[in-house]
Amino acid sequence: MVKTWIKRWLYTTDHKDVGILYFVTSFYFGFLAALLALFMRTQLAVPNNKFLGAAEYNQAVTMHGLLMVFWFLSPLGIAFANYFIPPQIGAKDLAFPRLNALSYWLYAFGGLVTFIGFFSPGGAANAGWTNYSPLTSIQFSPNAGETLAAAGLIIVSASVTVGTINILTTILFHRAPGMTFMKMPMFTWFIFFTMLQMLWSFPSLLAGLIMLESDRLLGTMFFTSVAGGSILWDNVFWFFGHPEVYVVLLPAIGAVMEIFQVFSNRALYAKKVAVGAGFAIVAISFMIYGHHMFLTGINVTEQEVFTINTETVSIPFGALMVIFIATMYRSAVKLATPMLFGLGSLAIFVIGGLTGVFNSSLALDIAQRGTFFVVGHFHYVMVGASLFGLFGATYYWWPKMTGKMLSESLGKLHFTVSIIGFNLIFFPMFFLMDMPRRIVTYTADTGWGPLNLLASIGAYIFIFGHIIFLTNLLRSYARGPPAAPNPWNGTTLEWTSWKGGGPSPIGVAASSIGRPLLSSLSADPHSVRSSHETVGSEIGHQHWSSRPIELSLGLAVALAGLGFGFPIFVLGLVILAWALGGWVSDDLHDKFMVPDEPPGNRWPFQTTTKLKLGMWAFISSEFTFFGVLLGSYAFVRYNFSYWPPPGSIHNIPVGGANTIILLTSGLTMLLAVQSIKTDTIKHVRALLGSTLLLGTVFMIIKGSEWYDLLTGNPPFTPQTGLPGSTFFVITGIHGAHVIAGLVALVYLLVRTRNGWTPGKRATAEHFGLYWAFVDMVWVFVFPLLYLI
Amino acid sequence: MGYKVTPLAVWAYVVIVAIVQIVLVSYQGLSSSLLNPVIIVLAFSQAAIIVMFGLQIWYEKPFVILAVASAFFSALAITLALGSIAH
Repeated sequence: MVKTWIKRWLYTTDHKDVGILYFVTSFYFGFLAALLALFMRTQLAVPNNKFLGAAEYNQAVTMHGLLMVFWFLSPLGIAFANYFIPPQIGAKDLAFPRLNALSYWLYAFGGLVTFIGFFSPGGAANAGWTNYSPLTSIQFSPNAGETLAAAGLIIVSASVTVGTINILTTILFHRAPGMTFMKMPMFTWFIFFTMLQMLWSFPSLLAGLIMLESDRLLGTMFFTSVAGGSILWDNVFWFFGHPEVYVVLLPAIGAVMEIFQVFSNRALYAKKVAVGAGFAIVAISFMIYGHHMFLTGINVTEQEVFTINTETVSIPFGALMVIFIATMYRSAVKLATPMLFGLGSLAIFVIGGLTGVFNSSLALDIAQRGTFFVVGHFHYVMVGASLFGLFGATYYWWPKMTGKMLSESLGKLHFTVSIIGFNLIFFPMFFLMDMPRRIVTYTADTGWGPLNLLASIGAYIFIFGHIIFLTNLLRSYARGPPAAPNPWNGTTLEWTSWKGGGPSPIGVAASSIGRPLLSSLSADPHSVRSSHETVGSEIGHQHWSSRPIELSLGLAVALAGLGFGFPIFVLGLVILAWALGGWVSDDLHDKFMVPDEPPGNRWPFQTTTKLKLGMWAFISSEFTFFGVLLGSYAFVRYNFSYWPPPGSIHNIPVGGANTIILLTSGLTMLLAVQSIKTDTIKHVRALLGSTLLLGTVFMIIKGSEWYDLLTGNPPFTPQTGLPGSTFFVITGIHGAHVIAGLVALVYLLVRTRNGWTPGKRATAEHFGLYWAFVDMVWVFVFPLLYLI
Repeated sequence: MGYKVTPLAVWAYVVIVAIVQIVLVSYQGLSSSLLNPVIIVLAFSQAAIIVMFGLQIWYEKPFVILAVASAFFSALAITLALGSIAH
């Protein structure tokens, strides 16, 4: 019994189980982050305090930020997305259940790799969550903790990429009949926006982290170069970092929109405008990051553009505020706990947003940069608005997740204590605009003592609020009153199925509040319901897989080896290879089977397979990844006064010949894809084999080029200035992609040795997309590195 | 065999462009301020052909949205990085 219970939670791929895993784990990391915050506030409570030393304080600041952003707030939204997106759109599960479990385990192990830095020599990362260069360089942060933090972030970036592709594909491909885009619930819409931002922002962080680890471990100098290295990191980080603010915020906004509709007993006002605002936020979020760099010396024109863009983003957010207010206007608002937290989120966001307008002003930003005013601002936006929204979501969806109700009186007490505590912490910071952030202590004559003491008292009150919250959850889980199937009269599809007292008919759910929202989904609403009502019986042991946890463990151990030494790294690689082999073996023997979803509303992708959609989403993120890498190359070329002329380091004829070999492998792959539907399997396999051969030859020539450069006289190595750094890292990463493709080709050839099935054909076709992408990247890499 | 004309044409184009790029670089008479933009434009033309046919954008019109958005954000990353240089 216990063994089965443990196996279930380790091997599950069911979206509800994975959602609960995300929920519990994110609160665990949130607890650690809160503890660190409490240490910091205790330290700053009074002048000249010695509760923490400078080194410990820096570690606390850094790890608090990292854990809060990457392992608590963002994943808590993902927890609800995992649990509720499929039922909200009428799907059985996420599009790729095993990848969903992989995404979770990568996230969990990534957090452990980062946190374990506290137990490494020199302690945890201490350069701030923004990892500003050159603080993160081996010169200023020689501790393993910094390497481990970057490794943990690389793992969580991989988790995000996998998870994003999965949720996007689910929303685009698994909507039930009748579930058109405009009928999607607002939570699903805002998760969709979040996923788009993650898809295009996290690759920038990933590229930056790989360059950072390369600087620390291989001696390259992307971010340590005097030719703008630290500015390069700022660009790479904030291209990710500012969209990340909205990645944290948007799931909460989506959840609060659901709550507002239900507790105002009214459909959302101007839903189309809200959707348009979401798209606008996604687009603008990538064009405003420069306001984090006003003091770095970027040119004035750019400062002006970023000021205008930053102020522009307040327009869609302003529209959302109007929509919230208009939805409540003249309605009988029911102030239950979820609604209180929703209102709290809104109020806090308004304060955070308004102070953000100050920061977007170039003149004011220069005065406020690096002060506690900024700390107050971003905690109002990132923490307050999102956390209160997600607390609201917890109170709102808990009955559906557990079948039990939470105590309303404890919930309201939690809200009251939290809203007082939160504002007591962060509102005084707006008056500390002359106090620099990230300082371990201050003297009494600065006059900062009273406000800091107030903030620290607020922190203890806020923590007390969370103890109430935890008590409420545990009390409900142990002996809470059973929940009705639809206790809040929710109008979205998740309230019509499985838990919370069993499924309730759609018609009842819709008519009970006098709004035929659900019944308008389809001419036959039962077709919507039936697509996910069978979840409980269908998800069984055949949907368990040990591979996601094994693979994640292998990657985590390998990357932890970057901080702890080569043997650990090798051990991780062994586990990784074993897990990958197991995954492939499971596929070859059809050990993990997920029944296909019945055809639903797939507009505008009716003629596309979900694997192709997933592959396309992946390639889309890879565009940004290589875009950032090649952009970084262009940046250093522009800044670096000397660069070896073409042909002086690299052999152009050899590079050219190798380019033609890779492009020819693209031809054989394309011919194989085109031949799949018409030619014999022998013919197709011959073309796939040719691709494998040409790809292998490309890598052999590339390897020999590397060997010649590394052993030349004088040697040209990754440490040979920026030319060496850029060449080896960019061609290395491209080479890693080629090797991954070659491994996949071998898998494909093994898989098709006994003949074709439609699934095998589709796999070959989708692999062709990946190989074309690898070719496409090289047509930029070759001229940039060899010819210019 | 008509369906195989397109892959061959794509391959011929990208290979010929690669050769042209190499020939241009080896021709000493051109200044780098003229040569470099030409080489980059040629690379973009190769990439566009591969995206259209190798990545099947030509056959899957809805993907144009994803492709354009991806290209936009990667171009934006490069452009902003280039513009954000400390002077």
